[in-house]
Order: sequence, then structure tokens, then C-alpha cells
Amino acid sequence: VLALSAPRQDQAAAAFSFDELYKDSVADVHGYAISLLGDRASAEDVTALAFERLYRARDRLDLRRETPRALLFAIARNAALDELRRRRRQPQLLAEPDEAAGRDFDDTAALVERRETVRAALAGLTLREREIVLLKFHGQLTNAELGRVLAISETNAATRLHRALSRLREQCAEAGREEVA
Amino acid sequence: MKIVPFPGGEPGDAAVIAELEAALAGTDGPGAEAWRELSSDIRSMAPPIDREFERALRLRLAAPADAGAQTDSRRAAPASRARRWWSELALAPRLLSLGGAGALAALVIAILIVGPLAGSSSRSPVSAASPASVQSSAGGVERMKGLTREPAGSTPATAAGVLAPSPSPAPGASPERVQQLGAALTLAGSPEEVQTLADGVSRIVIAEGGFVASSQVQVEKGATNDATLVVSVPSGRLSRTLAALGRLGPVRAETQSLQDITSSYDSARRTLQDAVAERAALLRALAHATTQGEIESLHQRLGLAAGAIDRARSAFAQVSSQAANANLEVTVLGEAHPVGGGLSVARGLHDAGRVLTVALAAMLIGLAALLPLLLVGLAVALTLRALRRAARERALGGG
Repeated sequence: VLALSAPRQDQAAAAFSFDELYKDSVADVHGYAISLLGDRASAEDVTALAFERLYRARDRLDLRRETPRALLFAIARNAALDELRRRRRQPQLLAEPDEAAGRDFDDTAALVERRETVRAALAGLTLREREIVLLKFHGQLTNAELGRVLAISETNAATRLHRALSRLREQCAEAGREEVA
Repeated sequence: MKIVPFPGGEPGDAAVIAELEAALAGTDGPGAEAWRELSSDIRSMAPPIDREFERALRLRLAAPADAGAQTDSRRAAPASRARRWWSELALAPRLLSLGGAGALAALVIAILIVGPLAGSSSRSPVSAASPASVQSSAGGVERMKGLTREPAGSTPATAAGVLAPSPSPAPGASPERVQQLGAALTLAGSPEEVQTLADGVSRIVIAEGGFVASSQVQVEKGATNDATLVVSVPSGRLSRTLAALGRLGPVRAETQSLQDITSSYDSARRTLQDAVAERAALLRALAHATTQGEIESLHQRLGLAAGAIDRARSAFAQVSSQAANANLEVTVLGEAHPVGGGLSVARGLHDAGRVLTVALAAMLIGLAALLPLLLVGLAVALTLRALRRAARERALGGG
């Protein structure tokens, strides 16, 4: 269990449980970072940085304006973009994890096929489009939270997300047409 | 590849986003299952988090103070990673040092501003006291002269009036001697109080049986005002008058002088007595005169004797007046910072108010000096933030 050792422990604990946030979000933040950056070391850097920054700022958070999860992903996003700036290279998606193990063979085969299609479609998006899709699904953020993370309005975030999902749909359809052909 | 049954409506349908929001929130609806499948597909693409890293991060967050001493997978991280960590950790001290520098600058500005003001107010009592002490030691001989009287037994009852002995004569006064008293008093007040103080002086002098011989009041807006009153009070009431005047306001300086005029007094008295005696002798001689020539001669001498008596009486009256009344010169100075007058609650409150006013003024000036710097700093910070944000967004633009 994470210990809140600051003097305002009770106040912070009343606001939100950092321990719960960590348990719920660490895999998601890592998944977002590794999907965006493409390598494990950088993703671990970003994940650690995000949690430690939020941990240090936990007593100063204005939870009336933002949720801890949205703040966490905002920090992670900034750190990831800084890493991208530093590297100036295109991220590559890593190998697919063995998540389907234990499922029925037919289901597993269908699942692998579908995910391969989605992977290809996702790779066909621009980095900006891909990033908002990753934020949405890894972060499980509402559009309002997405707007906070991206420092834009909720409407603008919804528009961008809609555009990115439309492109993803097109990419999936394109992949399907290629398969049929 | 498999064709993905993409959830949602037609491309461009705004309801797609609402469906997605509902699906991710766990609400069942059209396409909810498909959206959740898509979410699962995307999330599953990310390799799972390394358990060793997760455990190390959990430990570090549990004991952030020992973060540097933790043995974890990050120990073997590249130097660039360590540098970034250090920059993060060094951010707080940097902010602290920035705040400290700002506070120090404000303090220096405040000291520079308050110092001269405090110095002037603390030096004022010294400079004010010095003239007073010098005048006291000099005896104020250049000041007005007054006169006090010998004991009643030797007082001649003359036309000049009764000379009352001073109840508290000036230093060196002797009850056996006829002495001339004088005093000078300097009162301090604010420039706005000069007229009020001058009026107060007049009231007190008249109440004590004296009169104002001359008065000059200079009141000018925005300048140091002053008033000078030359008054005459009965010698016997000089001390009481000075005490009453001292209650009007802070006394910056007070001098009392004394001059022995016993010889002049005695001389005038003897001259008068001689003239009176001569006239009496002439009158007696006239009573015994038998010849016309003797009578006419005595009449002529009586006329001369009458003139001599008038002159002697006038001279004696003048000396007696000097003894009976003390001349007092009262100066009222209207200064921005009146000093002296001892300690009192009212004066303490006044001084406290002045200190607070000066401190407030210093703070305002300090803030006024810092405000442009703060605005520039704020503008720079906002610009840097905007540039950093733009740079981050550009990092996405390459995709």
C-alpha cells in the first residue's frame, strides 16, 4: 500500500486515494505510453515520471476542475511528447502480447485476425490521430477529460476524436477491401 | 485480414461519439458491445507492464524520500534518463530559490526606502534636543526680560503698582532681589495645527492676565508653517503659563532667563523719594516764606520739583513694570514630523500610525518596483509554456 507521508495526508486521502489510482491506472498509463512511444524503456520512464509528478503534487491538486486520472494522463502525455521531441523518431508498435491464451481456438483465431486488422488500421493513422485514440481507449477518459488532457475544449476534443475514429474506420474498411480483393 | 464490424453509424455521424461515451461508461446501447471490443483490441496491443518495474515504482512512490537509494530496475538506466530525473527533482529547489530571490529583492527595496525615512525620524529628537540644551546652558540672555520682586517688607507702594513675587522664580532668583524674568518656548505640531496652537497660546496668556504684544502666523499650504507670539504675562504667573502652554503640544525647546535689576529699581525708587522729599521741603519752606521774592523763588523751585517727581515716577513705573511682567516669546513650528514632548499613549499611537503608514508606503513602492518585473516574468513564463506546448504538438505533427 502506498504511504502518503505528507502533512496533509488526511486531506489528500479524503480527496482521492493515490493507492487506488495507482492500482487502476498504472497498466493503462504504461499501455498508452508504450503504444505511443513504441519501446518499453521509454514507456517505463513516462509511467514513472507521471506517477511521481502526480504524487508530489497530490496535495495541490484542484480536484474540482480535473479528475486525478485525467491529470495523470495529461502528465503522461506531456512526458511522452517530450520523449518524442527528444528522439525525433517515429514510434513503432511492439509485438502483440499473448493476451488471447486460454481462449477457444476458433475465437482466438478470429480475435487475432481482427486485432491484426485494427493494428494495421491504427498504424495507418497519423501520430496525432493515433494519440487521441490511444488516450481515449487506454485512458478510458470522457470527452471532457480528454479536452483537459489535450488542453482544448470538450467539443473540440470530441470533434478530433470523431475525426480520428472515422479515419480508423476507413483504414479498417480499406484493410477489409484489400483482403477481399 | 478480417473485416472489422466497426461500431457506430455512418462516418460523420456525431452520434458515434455519444455511443462510444455510453459504451465506455458501461451503458448498454446500440453498438456498445462492438465499441467495448474495439477498446479491448486497442488496449491489448500494448505489451503488459513489466512486473519488476511496477513493483519498483510502487516501492519508490511508497518512500519518495528514499527514491535515490532505491535499488530497482532504473538503476541501470542510461545517463540521459538519470539527468531527466535529476532535472525533475531539482525543479522544486529552483522554484524555491527563485521565490527566495524575489523576496530578497523586495526586502532590499523596502530597506532602501524605509531606511532613510526611519533614519530621519530617529535623528530628529537629537537635532531637536541639541538647540534646546544649548539655549538652556547659555541662560537665554538674549531673550525677553522680566522682573521679580524683593519681599513685601521692602516693597514700596508706589503709583507703579504692587509687585507680586514669583511663586516659582527662574533658576538663580532671589526673594531679596528685584529680578527681571523672561522665557522662550518652542512648540511643535503638524503644519495644520499651527493656527490652532497660536490661538491656544493667546487664550492661555489672556486667561493668565497677560496680553499678546505681537503675533505673526505664517500658514502656507505645502510648506513648513510657523507662528511667533511675543506675549507679556504677570511675573508671578510665568511658570503656570509655561506649564499650560506646554500642554498644548510637544515642547521642542524652553528657555528661562533672569536678570537682576535691583540697583535700577532702588535707584529709581530713591530718585522718586528724593523728588517727593524735596517737594515736601519746598512746601514747608513756602509756608514760612515772608517776602514776595522768596515766595516766587519757592514757586519756581516747586514747579521744577513737580517735574522731577513726574520723571522719577515714570522711571520707577517703568522699572516696576519690568519687575511685574515677564515677557515670553512663543514659537510654534508646524513640521511634518513633530518630535519631543515625551511619551504618551496618544503620541505612541500617532508614531505607530506613522510607522505603519511608512511601512505600507514602502511596500507599495516595492510592489510597484516589482510589478513590472513580475509582469515580464509572467509574460516570459507564459511564452515559454506556449512554446513548449507548441513544440510538443509539433512532435505529433510528424506522424
